[in-house]
Amino acid sequence: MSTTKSTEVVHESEAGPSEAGRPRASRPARRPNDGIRRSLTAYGFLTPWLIGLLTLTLGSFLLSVYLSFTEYDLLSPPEWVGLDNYATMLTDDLFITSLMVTLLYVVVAVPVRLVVSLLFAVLLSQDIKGIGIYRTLLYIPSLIGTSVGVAIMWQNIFSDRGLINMVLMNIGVDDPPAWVSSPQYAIYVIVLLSIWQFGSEMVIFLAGLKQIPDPLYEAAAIDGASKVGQFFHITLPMLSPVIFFNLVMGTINAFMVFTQGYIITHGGPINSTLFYVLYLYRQGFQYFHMGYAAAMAVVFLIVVAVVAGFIFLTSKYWVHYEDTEDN
Amino acid sequence: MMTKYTKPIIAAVVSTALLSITACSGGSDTSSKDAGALSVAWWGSQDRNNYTVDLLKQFEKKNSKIKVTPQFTGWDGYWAKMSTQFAGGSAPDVLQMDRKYLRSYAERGALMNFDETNLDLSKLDEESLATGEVNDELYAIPTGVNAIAMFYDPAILKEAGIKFDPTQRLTWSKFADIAKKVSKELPDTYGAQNIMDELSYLKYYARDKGEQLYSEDMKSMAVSTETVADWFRYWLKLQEQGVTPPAQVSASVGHGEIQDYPLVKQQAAFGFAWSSQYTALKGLMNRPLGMTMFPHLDSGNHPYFLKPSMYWSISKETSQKSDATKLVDYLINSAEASKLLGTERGVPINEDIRAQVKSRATKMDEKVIDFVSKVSSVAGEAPPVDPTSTSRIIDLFTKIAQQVQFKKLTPDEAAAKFVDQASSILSTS
Repeated sequence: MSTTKSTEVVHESEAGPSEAGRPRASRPARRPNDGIRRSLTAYGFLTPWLIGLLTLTLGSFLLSVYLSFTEYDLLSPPEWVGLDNYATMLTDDLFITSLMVTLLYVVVAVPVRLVVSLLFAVLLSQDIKGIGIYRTLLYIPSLIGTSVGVAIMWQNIFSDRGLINMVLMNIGVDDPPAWVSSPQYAIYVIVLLSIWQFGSEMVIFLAGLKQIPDPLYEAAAIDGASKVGQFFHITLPMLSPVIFFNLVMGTINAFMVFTQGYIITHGGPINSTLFYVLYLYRQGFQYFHMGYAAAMAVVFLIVVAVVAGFIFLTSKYWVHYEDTEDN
Repeated sequence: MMTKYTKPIIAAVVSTALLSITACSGGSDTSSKDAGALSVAWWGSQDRNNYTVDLLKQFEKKNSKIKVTPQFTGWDGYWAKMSTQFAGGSAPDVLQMDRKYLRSYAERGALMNFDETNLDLSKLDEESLATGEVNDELYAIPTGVNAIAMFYDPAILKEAGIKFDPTQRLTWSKFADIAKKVSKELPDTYGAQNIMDELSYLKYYARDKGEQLYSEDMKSMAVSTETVADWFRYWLKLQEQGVTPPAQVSASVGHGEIQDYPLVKQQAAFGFAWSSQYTALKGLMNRPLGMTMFPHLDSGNHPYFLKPSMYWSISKETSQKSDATKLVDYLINSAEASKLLGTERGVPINEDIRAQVKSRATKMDEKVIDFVSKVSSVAGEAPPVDPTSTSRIIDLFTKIAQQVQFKKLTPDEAAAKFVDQASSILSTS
């Protein structure tokens, strides 16, 4: 809901100046400079962010696009090599591996995390005494989840003789696998860590759930719709813009997974958790191939943009905006 | 006109101010070098950080005109930080260097050639000093040396009924017999840690076969496929016999992360590490621990070599060459400094200092010094500084060795693949 509101504001301020040129009869006449002033105010508040964007983000971004066409070892000046770095990528096994590992991670972690966070949001939207405590407790993992300490804890829990295996052995499982260090399971340990941090999506879902007008449920109940029916025919469609938001943000974030692979599994075993960003980091800072790393970053940007764009394209088939029907 | 733009301006000012407040709380950084201060960078544990800071204060007291700014981080962050600082022209004046990176930095002209300084090298062991040379120029001074060592748990060996004489060097096959006996006698205990995926140990093994790991020009691998396959086969056999832990346990032991060693966890009789890690291992284990030389092939070759623990280097761009030299001199040649240093950065290569350190050493330090001295007496020629793409080759070797452990590749396939791919990495860099 909040997203649609903010787009409205932007529309108004963008449309302001041109509208001021040809005043409509239905609206009170505006002073000609109103629009300019309004957008200036907006830009005024945006200044710090714009300064940050221009100096920190945009500058670095353009520099890394430039570096992607060079061979640069950080210690001597970059040398122009044209498209060599991009060509190398096509024959680099590890590049392919890291891309595949990352895609697997995204495809598994993002949907599961969405479902789990929605499930908990629905559970926690009930009016029960002390529900606030549960909300807080379930939110906490998302605050601490990306920290190094938690990664190390996770590593211990899922190690050969860690907590999970202690429990398994006590209930009679004979030879449980060493989860973090077996090539089949290691990535799922990291997926699980990501799912455990569903808190921020859950909070956004909770806010979305509160926005759904009660009369819809009341009407459905009178017509004899079951709770499950109500969930699929009212809650899900009404919540679809929020699901869309969480899906896009979640996908982009999942692509950038790094810390967990870096700390818990060191990219191993047998490169089964060599995430794209981890490989990029190794190329740049450990192998001194900053040009290649920059080229990988550019390709990464394109990959993520394509995936995000694809989700946007599909959105018109499943995302339901209430106000589009009003127009 | 005055009032019309007031609001936007206020908005800009206020929000910028707010931002700068939050930025201030972001913590102060050591990034800016104050003029005249000598910056010194190293990686290490908290323990090392503490005594090094004290050491630098001591140095400042002796040289009242020099001010030193310490910069320290853990191993991983250190190299990302160094490369960015060198790239950004704000390199530290003096920095701790590692043999994995020495060639990269030296060949790219980032380090000072010590021939251009007046550092006193007269007391330093020549064989050790040579490990700081890249293309015959001295770019790094070893802080100390150490050597690979085999560690054992005497209690476990005794329990398994094994009479073990640490003064006798074992052959690899005799070692396998002993390790096998341990795993047979004691049900929940392995004979040894599996070190198949550790490149330094393969280097030792190759030297025993009369080979070098890298070719002289560092453009290809010199080790034969047969030797690598032998190495893989030896450890795979022990793994299959249950003498070493299964693949998934071995894979969980990170390089050099001694707290994960089966030996430390009382799950194995033998472990392998650097001699300098004796004190740390002992601290973790808190029970008797033995140290002896690696098994060998009895080939008559001299596989053993001394490894510089780490080095001190001076950055080429330093504006304070003489002060930086003075500091390195203090760290290497001063008796006063050695009191704090002990053997924490390796056994000193200055012979006078080594004798002094030994005379007041604790029992543990003494053992390490004796071990290194013993190794020096049997060591062959020091191997040249590693090639610039060492990190990639280590990562490649780890992956391929793990594929052997997990039975995705046979030793022969894996050896051929490693030599082939490593050579192609070397030839293109």
